[in-house]
Amino acid sequence: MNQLESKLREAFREKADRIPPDAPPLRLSGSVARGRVRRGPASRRKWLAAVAASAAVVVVAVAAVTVSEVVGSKTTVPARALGELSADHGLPPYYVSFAYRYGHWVAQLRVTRTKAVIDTIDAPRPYYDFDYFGLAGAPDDQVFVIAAQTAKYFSGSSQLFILHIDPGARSPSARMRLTALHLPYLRNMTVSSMALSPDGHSLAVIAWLTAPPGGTRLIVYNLETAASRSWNATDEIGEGPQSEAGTLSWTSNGLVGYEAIGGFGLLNPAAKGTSLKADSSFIRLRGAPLDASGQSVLNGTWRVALISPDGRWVFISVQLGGSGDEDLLKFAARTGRLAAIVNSLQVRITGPQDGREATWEQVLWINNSGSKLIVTYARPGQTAGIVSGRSYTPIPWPADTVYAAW
Amino acid sequence: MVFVGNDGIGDATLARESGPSLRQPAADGIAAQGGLARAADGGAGDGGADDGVQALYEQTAVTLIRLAYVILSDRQCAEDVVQDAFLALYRRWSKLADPSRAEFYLRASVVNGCRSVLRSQRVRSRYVLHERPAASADIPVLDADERGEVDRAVDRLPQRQREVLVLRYYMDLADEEIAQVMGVRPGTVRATVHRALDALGRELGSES
Repeated sequence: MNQLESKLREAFREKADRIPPDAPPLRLSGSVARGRVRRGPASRRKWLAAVAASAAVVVVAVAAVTVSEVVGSKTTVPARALGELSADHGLPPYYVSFAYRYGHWVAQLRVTRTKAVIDTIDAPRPYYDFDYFGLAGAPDDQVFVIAAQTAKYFSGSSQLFILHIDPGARSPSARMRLTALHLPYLRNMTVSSMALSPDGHSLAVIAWLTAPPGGTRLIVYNLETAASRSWNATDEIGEGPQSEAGTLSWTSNGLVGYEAIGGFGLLNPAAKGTSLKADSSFIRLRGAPLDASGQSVLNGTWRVALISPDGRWVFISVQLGGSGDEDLLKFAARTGRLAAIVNSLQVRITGPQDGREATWEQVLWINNSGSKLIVTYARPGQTAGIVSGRSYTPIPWPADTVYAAW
Repeated sequence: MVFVGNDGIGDATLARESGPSLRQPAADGIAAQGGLARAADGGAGDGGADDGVQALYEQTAVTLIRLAYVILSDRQCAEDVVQDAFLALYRRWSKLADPSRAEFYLRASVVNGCRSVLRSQRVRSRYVLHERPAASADIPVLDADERGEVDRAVDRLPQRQREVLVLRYYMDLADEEIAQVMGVRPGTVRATVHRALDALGRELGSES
């Protein structure tokens, strides 16, 4: 055992010794976890709103939905059709974001150019205390998929919803409609990444099983036909997609991009193989810069792994050790060679016990050719901006928004 | 805005295409490890479950709470995760084919529970930027200053890397055992340990 391993062992033991050798009494009735929601006729389910965008219209043909009155909907932008908002800098005119207010989640429709709130939707009562962490948008800006979590602890299941936006509607009640999806494979699973296909017909999801034996799946749902297919991804995908949004993407010819062990994977959902590896092709990324120890920075933790919809460019954001350095790299998909270092950042990386989540850069939107990205946390604080080549243009960004999707 | 029910298309319309299913043994050879199977003798019954689970709790709770605490740094969350793991085991007790596997099941449940806690904390901490996760005033969460350099560095690792390090260097599990707890292959465990030590080494400037 070397010095580092000895230090680890000692640190763990020292930490564990803070727990005295007497446990609280065992409670075998009811639920223990804070915030756990019982399943019942009302079928309370948690929502996770995730971030990620790039939209395509989703046509949903699935499952029964839950009807609920929205509490607290309010409009702060004078009533007008969303369709009257014009795109700016080639960006979609509005987005959906999530904030956590007064002990529960709210979703907000905001103008991209000004961050003005068009509409606010409180979490519906059956899902009031859910955690929202998944949000994916379709390119037509009319459909978003939201993911939610049923319980905080290990027996949670994920529930997905479709949020339809009608840009032509003038009243808030007609403007947005929420539909619960009943999809297979998500029982006892936690969704960690989602992405809608450019045509809006398919949804790719990475989810992990919350109960033993554990494991991670990559699932593709056809939202038009309600067909679905699931691949065991446990030993095939990297760590990034298992814990962060923004690590799944689609090409316009229907391939799903993901961080694979050893490279960037492209899954062909229509392939008839028996494994994720067999149904995927791989791009071996080359030419990445070296870190201080002489190793490729790609050996660090990938926080972003996306392909542009035209399939030409792969974007990887790599956290270098725990140092807080982060590089956003652009690779040519055809050759795997590094095309550009988009930016090189010093971010403040902390652990959740420090009271703040790590604020590494996230890519929330990418245009078809990969020439424009919307990123968050590329500058200190709660910030977002447009990255195009070497230029960064900030956009007004709500201070309390963490997840957003176009 | 209201939720709108659709016209009642139910789960029956969800056609599942061919492909590996979580409910079936994985086609690519990764077998479900440590799962609970129906007891051949029809189960122990509630009385047996009460005694069995209670006895197991008395033997293993402190170890499991310490395991959860090393991962979470929050004693109350650690105790809750362990309680939930035992509650789940209790509910499945009659289906346990091999009671000797119960401890493995608990260990895996605790690790998964910690993963969910960290996920929830991560989601919430993005919003409540200046507040700590809720904790009892009597059971303090470790202050950043109280935690050592190694502890802080481990906390900054990705979740899976953190888990393998704790299971190997705190629980002293072999790679095959870690693989079973985490539901991955032993090769994945080894690769993840290597990456984790590499990342720690770079940050701490130690030999790996």
